[in-house]
Parts: sequence; structure tokens; C-alpha cells
Amino acid sequence: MTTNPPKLAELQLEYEQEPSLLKGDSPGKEWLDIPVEFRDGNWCHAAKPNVIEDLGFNNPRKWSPEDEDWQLEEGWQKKVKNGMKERLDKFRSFKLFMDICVRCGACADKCHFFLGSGDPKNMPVVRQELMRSVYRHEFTWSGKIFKGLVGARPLSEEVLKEWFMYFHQCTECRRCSVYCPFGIDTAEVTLMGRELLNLAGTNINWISEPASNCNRTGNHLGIEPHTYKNVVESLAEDIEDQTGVTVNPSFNRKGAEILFITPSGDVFGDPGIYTMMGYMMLFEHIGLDYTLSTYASEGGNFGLFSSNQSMKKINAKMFHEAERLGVKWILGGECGHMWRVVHQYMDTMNGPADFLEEPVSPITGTKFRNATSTKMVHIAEFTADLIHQGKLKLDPRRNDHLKTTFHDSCNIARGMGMMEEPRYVLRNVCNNFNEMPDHTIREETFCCGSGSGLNTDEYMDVRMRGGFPRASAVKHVKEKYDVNALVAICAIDRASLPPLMNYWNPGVSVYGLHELVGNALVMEGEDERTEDLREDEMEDLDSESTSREYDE
Amino acid sequence: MSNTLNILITKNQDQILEKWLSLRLSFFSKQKQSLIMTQKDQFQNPIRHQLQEGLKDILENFEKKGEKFKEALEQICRILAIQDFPPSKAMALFYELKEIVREFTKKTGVGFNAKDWVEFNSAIETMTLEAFDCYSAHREKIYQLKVDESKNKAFMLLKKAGI
Repeated sequence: MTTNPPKLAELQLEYEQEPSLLKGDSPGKEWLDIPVEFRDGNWCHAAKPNVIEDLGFNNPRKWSPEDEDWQLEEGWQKKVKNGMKERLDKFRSFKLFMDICVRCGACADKCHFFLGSGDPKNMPVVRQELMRSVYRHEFTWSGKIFKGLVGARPLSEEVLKEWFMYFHQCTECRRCSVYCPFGIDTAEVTLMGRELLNLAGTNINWISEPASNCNRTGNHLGIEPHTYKNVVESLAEDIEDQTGVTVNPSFNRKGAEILFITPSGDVFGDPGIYTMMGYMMLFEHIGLDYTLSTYASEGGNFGLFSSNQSMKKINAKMFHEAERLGVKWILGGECGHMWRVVHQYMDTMNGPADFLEEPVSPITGTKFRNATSTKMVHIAEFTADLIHQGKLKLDPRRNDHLKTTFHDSCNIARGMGMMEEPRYVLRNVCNNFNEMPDHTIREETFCCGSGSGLNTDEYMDVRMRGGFPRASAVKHVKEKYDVNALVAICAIDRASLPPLMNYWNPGVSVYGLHELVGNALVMEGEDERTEDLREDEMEDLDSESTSREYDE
Repeated sequence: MSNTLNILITKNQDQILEKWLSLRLSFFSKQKQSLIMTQKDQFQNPIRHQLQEGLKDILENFEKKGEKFKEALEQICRILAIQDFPPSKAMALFYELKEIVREFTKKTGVGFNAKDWVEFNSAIETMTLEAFDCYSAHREKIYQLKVDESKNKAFMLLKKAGI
């Protein structure tokens, strides 16, 4: 303990005159004057040279964002500038988004990365401004003449580093776009930003390697067909061990009625595998004539996060395989960005799929007219219809050990407008469901903080920041309703929300919707169920049945 | 008799909280004015809300400590541990209280003796060290999450390989 305290006058002098940690950083500086600083946890590993070669992108080399010298090619500025021109000519949306923003600020506090860090460059308007400033300098008369006065600046290495940092601190979730009076889609600007970064040879491995793997084996992890089959079969064995019911998934079976495609995270990752088990139990329960494909073994599409050509190529396998196998239509599993690609791009990129039929549920006869053009139905719609038509035997009490809340995945809620179907299913398979507060769900949902190919472990700090607004809404329902289960219908959510919950809200586990369906299904010939699919104890079902508590 | 400075904190809690919060929020933004400072909605600005809650609990329980005090340190350090500023700056938050209280003594003309000041300083130091434990625990958690995640991604492959 100090025995000689300083005098007040001395302290005051010290506080006023000495530089101090207590006085903040760069006070009053404009955002343009603050350089980016790469430090552990705020950057993703650069793409490996062999991956870049496989994808045919520029300048394969070993480098790290932390390096002083990024070993850029001679003339990289020209490549980026030409790339920008090409895209401005090709995509009217991009041109419009570069010109139309009036900087009203409606989006400023809507980004989860901004809310989790306070960094002004994470305001969507400023993030776009990083690119607009270069656009003005290169492509507008006012920018060429008045330069900095109109917020124009040349493309320098510093600017490129800024792009690299901030276009990888956007998950393309589009929450900001909901509030933009002009409907500017920040995700599209980020997509263009990442394409231009590709031209400069500055890509990240977590996006590039899965895309390259997909080209080679059909899935992000690079798993070969026999292993894929083997793992799915072992999940079928797990179902048999736990429920006594045999399920028989088939692979690459020609003539099946339906091709089922789901993200590979459901097949290989924990807790995605339990959702996969749920699907297989459901299909067995209703006797669906379906097949899996070891070629279209990935619903996800990391091409979306790097370039539109890459996205198109990876997506093409869905229709190719459906045509080869001669199925009638495609059923898609719980995934986020897969549905963004399917819903918004697939039809014009790789369609029309005139060799398929308009999807009709073979169990209920329901026509999915919303999928008339893509011929691909979302599993939540499919299951909601089955429940609505009374085709499933469910005992929601089997999920009584779970007090659930529902996280709307950005791409499903905002990307395709599906909000009610998963909730309808959830309400029918469990008795305790409580919504998170308004403005944090449905079309205003907060992102998990790890979407768009950023769910890599070296990026954990940024991900925890980006996921903070979502975690704060979960904290609220955890404290208010004792929620212990966060249900999501996206494979990236299922991979990235567990660490997010572990960090911010320990005690909340993450579940897939169809995992809960699998828990609740009363299957023919089943053994007595005392454990859920992840072998956690269910509540004693013989005790007095609990009533349903819905929070509408 | 209670420490004069602790009494001062209790009496001026709201003003001290306001000053402490705005000082800390200025670290989050590299600009003078930021929505992080002005947006008060609990869910639309969780940093402000959770820091405010935590700092309030610290001030309320500054003398008696206890579970609530510990939880508040946890809540604050959880936010600080993943920010882009270094540990020294994160921990500076707790020393800020010293400066704020000193200013208040000047403003309100409250007299205090050397013993009060020594005790108060010591309490701040202890709090900072406790907070540093929380901060480090959260940093360690981040590294643990990285390891867990790598394993979980290929869970079935590792399981099949018997690893």
C-alpha cells in the first residue's frame, strides 16, 4: 500500500501535461487520416499460393496482411482500376450504389461490426466510402478536378490495405440495406470490393480454399465421395443406436424423386450433424423417395464471397446433378448463403432448369409455387407444410429440456423473406419458445458476426465483436426466460454461434431446427426415447405433461 | 468511520457514472462524436448499455464488493478483451475512476485525509488487478474457442479416425 500519496496539484499537472493512456487515441482526427493497423485477431490468413493457382486468381505468393510489403504485382493499380471500370459498365447496381448515396446516416448504427467496435469505418456508409472515394477520383469529373474537396483519393497501397480490412469486416448480411432509403445494398458493394481485392492478389484463405476444394471434390472441406458416404452412413448408425429405427439414405441414385442438398457442415461438423440426423429421421418417417449426391455434396457456396464467376461455377453442380440423376425437383437443407445464391442468382446464372418439374410435395400434394422457377424448396417450408397437413407424429415434450429462442439467419430472413415457416415448425416441436426483442429479429435480425466466409478461428476477436449485438439480445432472453437453446437454420450459424454463446452467454447451446424435429418425431418401431440426438437427458415424459408456453 | 471518498462516490454516483462512461466510450470511437456515445437503446448499442450497467454496479458496490461487483468486472472485461486496443488501455478504465473522483473532490470541496486517499488508491489497485484476472481469463477463452472450433468443424472425420 502506498504511504506517500501525491498531492492533488501534482496529479493535476501530470494529467494535463503528460501523454496518458487515459486520454484516448487520435482525438478529433478524420477517418481518412487514421491508418489501418493489423494485429493478431483482426485479420484473416492470406490465401495459399496453390489455392490461388487452382482458382486462377492473380499473383499467387506467400504473404501475410501483417507484412510491411504485401508483394503486390507491378501495375496492380491498373488492374484494379480496369476491373472497377468493367464492373461499373457491367453491373448497373454497382454504378448506382457508387453514385446515389446521400450520406443521410440511416445505416450508420445498423452494422453489427460497428456496434461491437465503435470503429467509424464499420459504419456501412463509411465502409462504402472507402471505395467511393476511389471511384470519384478515377471515374468522375468532380473527383478528378476537386480531388480531396469532394472526398476523392487515389488508389494507394494504404487504401488497398484499408479495403482488405474493412471489406472483410462486412458479413454481407444486409441489415443496413433494410434502413437505406435508396435501397443501397452494401453486400453488393462488399462483393465488388472483394472481387477487386482478388485482382490485386489479396484474398483470404478461409474463402479461397473452400471454393477451390468445391471445384475439386464438390464440398468445402475437400471430402471425397467415399468418405462422404461413409460419414452419412455412420450418422445413420447413430440414429439406429439411439432410436432403434433404421434409416437408409441413398447416394447418387438415378430415378429418385427428390435430390436433397445440404451444407457439408451438417455432415461433418458438430453440432450440424444432429441436424443431419433430424433430416434423415424425417425423411424416413414420411417415406420420402430422395437421394443424396456425393458430387453436389455441398449446399454452401463460398464462391459468393469471392467472385461472381466462382459462385456461378460452384452453384452449377446443383442443376447438373439434378439433371444427371433425373430427379423431379431439389430439396435444400438448412443453410444461409446457399439460399441467397439459390433464391437470388441461381435461376439467371445457371437456369432455366426446364428439365425439372414444379415442386410438389409427394406427401401432401402441396405445390410450392414460390419455387416454380428454381425448382428448389427450403426444408423449413417443406416441413411446415407437413405439420400443417398433419402428416407428422410429434411429441414436443421431448424437447422440454430446452427453452428455445430463434435466430433468424440473415440470408433466409432478409435474403428470401422467410420468417414464419421456421417459427411454425419450432412451435410445433417444442413447448418453450420465446422471441428475442423486436428490432433484433426477422428482417432486422443481427448477424452471427461470422458470415460471408469469415468464420475462421484466427479472426475470433473480430467475430466476437461482430456477434456482440446478437449475443446481447440472447442475454436478454436468457435472463428473462431462462433460455438455454438458440435455434438457427444456417450451417454457418451452427458453426459460429457456439463459440459466440460460449464467450458471451455460457450455458446457451446452439441447435438446428431439424435437430429438434428429430427429437420430437415419434417414429414407427422406435425404442423408448430418454435422450435427445446429442445424448442429453430428456425430461421424464411420464411426469405431468407441461403446457405449451408461446410468446407470440 | 467510512472513507470520505467512498461517501463521495455514493453521493455523486450518477454524475461520476456519466463522466466515467463517456470517458471510456471515447476509446471505442476514434472520432469526437460517435453513435456509440449517443445511441441509448439497449439492443441497438450493447457496448454502451452493458458498460453502463457494469460501471453502475461497480460504483454501487465499490465498498462492500461481493458477487455483483465481481460480475460487473466480468461483464466489462468481456467487452474490453476483444477490442482493438491493447491490454494497457483496456485496464486504464479502472484508473480513470481515480482521476474522476479527484476532480469531484476539487469541484465539491470535499476534504479528505491522507489515509482516505491511500485506502482509496489501494482499492482501485486491487480492483484493477482483479479486473486483469478477468481480462486474461477472457483472452484465454478466445484461444480455447479457436481450438474447440477447429476440432468441431471436422468432428465426424476426427471421430471416424478415432482421434
